[in-house]
Amino acid sequence: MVKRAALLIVMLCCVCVPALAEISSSVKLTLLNTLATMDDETVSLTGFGTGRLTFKSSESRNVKGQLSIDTRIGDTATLDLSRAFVKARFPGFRITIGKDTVAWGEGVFYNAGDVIFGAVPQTADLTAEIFRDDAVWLTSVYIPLGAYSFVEPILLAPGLNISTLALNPDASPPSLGDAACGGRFVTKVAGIKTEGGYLYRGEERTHNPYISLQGHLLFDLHLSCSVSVPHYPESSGGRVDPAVSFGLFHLENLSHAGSERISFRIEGLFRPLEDWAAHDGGNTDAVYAVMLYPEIAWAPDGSLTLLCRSVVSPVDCSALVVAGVNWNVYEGLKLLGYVSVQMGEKKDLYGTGKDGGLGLAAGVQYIF
Amino acid sequence: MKRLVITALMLIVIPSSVFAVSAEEIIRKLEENTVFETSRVDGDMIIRDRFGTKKSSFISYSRGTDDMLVEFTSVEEEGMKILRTKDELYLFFPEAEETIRMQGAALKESVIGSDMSYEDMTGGKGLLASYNVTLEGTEEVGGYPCYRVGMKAVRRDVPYYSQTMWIDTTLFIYRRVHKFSRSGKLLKNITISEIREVSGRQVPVRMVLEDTVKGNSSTEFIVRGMKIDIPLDPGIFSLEELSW
Repeated sequence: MVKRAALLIVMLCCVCVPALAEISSSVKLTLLNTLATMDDETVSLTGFGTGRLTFKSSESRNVKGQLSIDTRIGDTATLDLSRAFVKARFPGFRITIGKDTVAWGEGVFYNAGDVIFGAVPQTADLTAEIFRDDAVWLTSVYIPLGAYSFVEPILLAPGLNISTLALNPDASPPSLGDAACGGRFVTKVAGIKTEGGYLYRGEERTHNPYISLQGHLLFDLHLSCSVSVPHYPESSGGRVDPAVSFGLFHLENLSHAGSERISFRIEGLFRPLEDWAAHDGGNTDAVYAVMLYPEIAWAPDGSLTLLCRSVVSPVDCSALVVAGVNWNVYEGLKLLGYVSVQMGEKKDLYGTGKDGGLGLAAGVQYIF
Repeated sequence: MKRLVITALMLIVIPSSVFAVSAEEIIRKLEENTVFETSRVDGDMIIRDRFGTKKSSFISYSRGTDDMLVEFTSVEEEGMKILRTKDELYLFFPEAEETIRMQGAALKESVIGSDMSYEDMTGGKGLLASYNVTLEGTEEVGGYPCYRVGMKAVRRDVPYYSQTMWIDTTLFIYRRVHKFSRSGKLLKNITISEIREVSGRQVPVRMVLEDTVKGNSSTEFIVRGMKIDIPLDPGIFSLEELSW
């Protein structure tokens, strides 16, 4: 018994001592004052910010851990654990367990290949630095197959609301049937990055295969296709839901050395079985068959960027347009300014008379 | 008096001896000196512009002329990595866990706001395979006698149409480089300000890169630590390591 305990302690030390690496920490604060028109023709002024506190392990070549706490700051604050994972590398494979993000498919805004988080970003905030920042509880194994190819099986546990469970211990925990699982294979075929995968989503009982291609022909191009097929089409009333997304990106140097640049990006999402006709009821949750994301960014030098982004709904001819400036003045400090306009009628997806029909935001981002 | 005689002798001897070597030989010797079987560098990038100074730190691993992995360690860019292999350049953003293949227009983007573009990192094919070289004479740079070598591109996939390099006649390390556009406009100016001996090899440890068109801006590279010809896991130059 003592022998076993001693052995266990030795084994634990062997595992933990290399993992007791140095911790690096960082804070990212984005603070904005926002003026916005409301649907009752009043104007609101809000001071709002987000913060991310990150602790990362360092030093160890084969074990990595990260804990990130997100906060949304108004007069009160909310806390969210946005990352909490451990990665360990073994000969021939590596494993990730915990809450982390994973980028399947191709696309900055629209990505039909992202069968985990969806083709449309969950928070379509056009002032955001990264549109796809969601994380999920996952267990994934990364198996490299040569320098450019890999296979990644994944298991996603269903959402667990610990506070609900704590308040009501009799509440049933999520069932195994609600889990999602699948995998992807990434390789390069004739210079084109080719990715194919599949995910079974237990909560919706759907099978989701996808394929994504990324290459270059005059422009940087990507194309992703996926289809959601219900497991029980008769009983659930579900339907086959195909989606196709594409993207084009081009950057043009306006000066010889490339210090002044202008870039163009357009991404589109087609869901042919969704609505091709505009709704009349002002339904903000309407899902239309075609959506576009155009973006122009002009950088007169390395520190200043002026951009204009938009989400366009061609079906009801409405759009959300955001024009902004992003100025990296000092190390870690950016000054931010945005104007957003919703163009369309009140019944459309975006409309001038809606909440936030016209918005103005100015603030700072600081990383330290 | 003695010094004067030595200098005079050197002036007579050097020109006759320097032209004994061809431009190709000079470039070959330069590459022997600046390309290592493997290396690990801990360094800083100091970006100066009209608003002040920004400092970024990095660790880079390299193998031969083709393979390189750069990992940024400073807070603002922590975990961001760049992988260069023979034909590809990849970028990894840790926050989004996203790997991006840099190609076409995206290669013209600046590396974290510095005077260096991703395109500048793609020249791993060897200079003689990419440029026709000619020896244009000798000149002094910072008090050091240098070969002046003109280079004209023979391939379309190089970022600069022509270059002029001033290569130290004894150390065979460039002390200054000018990079030109097709129209002959000077685009980038690299100046080496410090060379140090590392593992018996002379290595530039401080250099300044200026984007001459941008003006009022420069990026200084400082090597804080360097190890040469060390055993490196070949897996370092793979997508697995990039996304780790």
